[in-house]
Amino acid sequence: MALKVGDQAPDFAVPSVTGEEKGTFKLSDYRGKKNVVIAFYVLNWTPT
Amino acid sequence: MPAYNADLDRFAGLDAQVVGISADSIFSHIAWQKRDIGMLNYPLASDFYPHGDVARKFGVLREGPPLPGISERAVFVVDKQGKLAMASVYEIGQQPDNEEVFEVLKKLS
Repeated sequence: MALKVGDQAPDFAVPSVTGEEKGTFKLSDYRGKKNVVIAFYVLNWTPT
Repeated sequence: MPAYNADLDRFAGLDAQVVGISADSIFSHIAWQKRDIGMLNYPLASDFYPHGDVARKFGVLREGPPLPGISERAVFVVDKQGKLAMASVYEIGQQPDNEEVFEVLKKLS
């Protein structure tokens, strides 16, 4: 079951790229600073 | 994913960071941008190893057809306190409407 509105978001830290620039995306880095929109998508090379 | 890129200024105006995430490797993320969708100005995160771990934590890892190990198409909005202000799962082939996300973000600001 997917998490629901009001649930605490689980923290995570994973490799990421912005364009070609490699980094790490850590959700808790944004705590108290920005809202975060996490868009789960199915797979690269598939539509949208 | 290009639809988020086109609206990045609006997301920024609502104090929101966008991140895309799939179970692909970062090398696949780079190749996909270069050869298909164009370079994005927001991060693509890699839920590659341990495979699908983040999707599992959010409850959107698919373990059955059409392909075990991919995630659902889903949008979560995390507010500044770390709570979920939006948690929506879509049909796999459906691109979520950014307007829906903007409405949620407006209520947070």
